[in-house]
Amino acid sequence: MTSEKNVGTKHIQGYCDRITVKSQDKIQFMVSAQGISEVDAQLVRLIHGDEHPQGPGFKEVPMAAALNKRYAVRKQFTQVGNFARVADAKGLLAPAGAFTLFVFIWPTTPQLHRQGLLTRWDATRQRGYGLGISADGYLEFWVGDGQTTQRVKSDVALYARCWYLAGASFDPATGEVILFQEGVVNSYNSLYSPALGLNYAGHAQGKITIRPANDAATNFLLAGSNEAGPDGQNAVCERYNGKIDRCGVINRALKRAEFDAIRASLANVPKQGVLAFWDTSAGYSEKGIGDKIVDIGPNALHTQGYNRPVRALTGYNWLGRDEVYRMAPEQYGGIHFHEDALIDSRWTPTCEWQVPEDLKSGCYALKLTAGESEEYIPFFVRAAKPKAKIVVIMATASYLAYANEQLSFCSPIVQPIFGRTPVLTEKDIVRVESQELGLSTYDAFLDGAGVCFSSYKRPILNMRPKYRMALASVWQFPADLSIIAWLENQGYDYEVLTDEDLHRDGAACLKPYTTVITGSHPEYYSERMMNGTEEYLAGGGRLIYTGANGYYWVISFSDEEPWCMEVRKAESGSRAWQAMPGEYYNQTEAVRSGMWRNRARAPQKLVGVGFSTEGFDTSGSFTKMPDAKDPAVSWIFDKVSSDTFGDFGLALGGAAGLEMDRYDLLLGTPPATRLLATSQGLTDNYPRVSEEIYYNFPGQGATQDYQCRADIVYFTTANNGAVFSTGSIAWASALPCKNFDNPVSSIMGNVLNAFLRAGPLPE
Amino acid sequence: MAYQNKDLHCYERFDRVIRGQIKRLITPELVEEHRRATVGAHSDALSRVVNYIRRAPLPGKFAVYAIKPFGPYRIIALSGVRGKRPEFVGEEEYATLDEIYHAIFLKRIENIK
Repeated sequence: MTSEKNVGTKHIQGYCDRITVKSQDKIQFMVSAQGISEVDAQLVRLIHGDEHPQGPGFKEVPMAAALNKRYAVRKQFTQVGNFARVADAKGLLAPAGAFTLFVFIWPTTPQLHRQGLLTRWDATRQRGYGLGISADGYLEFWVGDGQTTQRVKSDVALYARCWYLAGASFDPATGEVILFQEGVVNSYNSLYSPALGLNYAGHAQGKITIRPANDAATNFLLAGSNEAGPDGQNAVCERYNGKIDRCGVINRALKRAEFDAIRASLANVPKQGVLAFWDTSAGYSEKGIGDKIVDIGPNALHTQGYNRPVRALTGYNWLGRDEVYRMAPEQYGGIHFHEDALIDSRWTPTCEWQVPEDLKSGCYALKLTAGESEEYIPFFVRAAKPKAKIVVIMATASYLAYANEQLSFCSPIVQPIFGRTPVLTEKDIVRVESQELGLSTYDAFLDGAGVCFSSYKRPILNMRPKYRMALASVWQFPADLSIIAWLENQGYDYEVLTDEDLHRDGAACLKPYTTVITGSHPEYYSERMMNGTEEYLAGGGRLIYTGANGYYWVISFSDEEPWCMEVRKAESGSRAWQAMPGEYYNQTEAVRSGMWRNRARAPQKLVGVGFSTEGFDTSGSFTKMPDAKDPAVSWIFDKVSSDTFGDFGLALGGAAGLEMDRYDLLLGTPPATRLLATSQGLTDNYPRVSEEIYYNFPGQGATQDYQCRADIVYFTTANNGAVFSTGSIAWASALPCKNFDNPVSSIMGNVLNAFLRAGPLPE
Repeated sequence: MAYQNKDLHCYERFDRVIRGQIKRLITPELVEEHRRATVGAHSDALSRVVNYIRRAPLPGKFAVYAIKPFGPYRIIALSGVRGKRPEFVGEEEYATLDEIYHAIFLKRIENIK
């Protein structure tokens, strides 16, 4: 397909190093462009992000800033993929004599292409050595001197998702190579049962008559090979997909029996002659585990995973009894490397800016233009000294979860879920085609494993104003701008915070505000975010939950790298993938991931409603329920005389739609909760969420199951606190309709005005 | 290991049977029902037809390409291969989502026949 507007060959992409800043903070912008050499930068304040013709349209306000200039730009290189580089300045891993490599592996794509396991190999110049997997799926060891490359290859292909000990010893004096390949399969750790008696063993002996050309500039790598990048930099190719467990290098040629002994017990790794012995199970603590891979050998050649290989995973010796690394860290040495992972694009900064003292808190972006090409790099300015009574929490953790999702391109079930054919643009195609922008937590890596990390140190092309998701509506950030636009239009003074602020500062960042307003879909919450919200409410805070399917997934962050969110989708919930058995705990913060509901904190306990159904064909409306007529709370419906309302909206034509939450006393909805209104007019494209289905049976769509619905609820909390929940993602996109003069807008205004008044609220 | 996935045999057999059933549901009235409401509540017969075609495997699956955010639109076919661009299907441009949804529906039922 050729692009008629040539968008694919000409584009600007960028990201910033911080997503939340305040006065005097510095922020850097990284820009890469293709087919463009200069861009004009303009700071803008973002007001509304939905171009739907029935709404107010896209709104931005250009801001004066020293940043507003023309910048030279170029295509910047992105190193995609996981691997670990070993700093080996002394050349300890380039022995002149005999040596041995050993590594426990669980390959996931053994027949995809050549993959490096343990290498000191320059694939561009064919110099060095390596132990890896051939393009047709066999273990092999090779040596290259720049003139020729000689290989010794196993004669038994590797099975995917089964554990092996792989190794090779080489004595250049004799040329003898011993290749070792044996399964390490028990009843739990591999795809197949040991009862099958499969032949995992593939031993080969051979001769290599050349010596490796070991160049000082060539890195020793776990899970890849070196190559010269497009700008001459050290790049990594032949990246491995699969797990690696304990591995090392020994300065003599082990015999077959010595490999067998290591396979039987790590205690048999030779005590003498170890050049490196990476204990991938070392380093677990109460905070989980980071990217450092510890060398417990005498040379301490510790290394760092690149683009965050996944840890806290079962290893070759997992016995299936303990389901968390906190119980048996020695069985959790698995590190999963993915050739297509991306955490940090690591581009050179294009410009830097210091946030001026008087800049009002809000949603901002650096707008970049060149001819018809355009890019926005959004970021959020919080108040250094809060003054407003209202704060909106921009759901940055949830924006990350969906960052650059590829659902329409890679998931065949998307069209049935959407109930419509996806609507894609050239920008969608460019971002999916490039393979350089990373994946979302709704995607799978090339080897089928779910993506559990997402970071904002890369361009996120669907976290942009104007962006429309394939389901023919805005989603997440551009949808949340409809709340911002409503506040602006109604003349409220507001400030913004992000999930990152809430995670870092907890209730302290909410406390200055009388009322907190959420985004339309605050789905991903860390424990600190949950606690901060709960503490705020307990202290008399007031919360308007302007969305649905919120407070759903348990996430975590490393304190050192707040730009990267982690989630493991466990065995329940509406999930794009499922973590493997024994791998439900996050490596950051050492928390059990999955749903908050399964951690005894169903969203109903916090906001009165929780995820009930989702559908994307059409949205419905609301009808008032008996509590709406109670004089104590009927003020919520001032100016809304009709029993039904919300049969309009920029999100599929109604205020009740997309994803929806329900009142449920058994899940912790506060007993005194007012159920003010409920959804109507939904189709069977809205089925019950999977976590509520214990036995499946026909008829679980919204036309046959009364619990597939959105509820609007209100309740009070301690110390004059209160919660108002709208139960629907589509609610926010209904606010701007009819020039903001509509029943949904009236209800929001009634609630917000009441919440801003001091003193007790009606119960 | 070059073993065959025999699940495909079951899929092919099942699909053969279902296609026959779906084909029998396609009538001029059903096509007209879709034209009048391309998304949303449908009769049981039309629901079965759209459920079938929406579940199709990705390679060659139709999608909508928005030339501009709110039209015009063109039909594309997804590659089903990660990173590989979709292909345009035909030259025609459609002014509204309803028009292109229905055009895609017609192509899909034509493929079933």
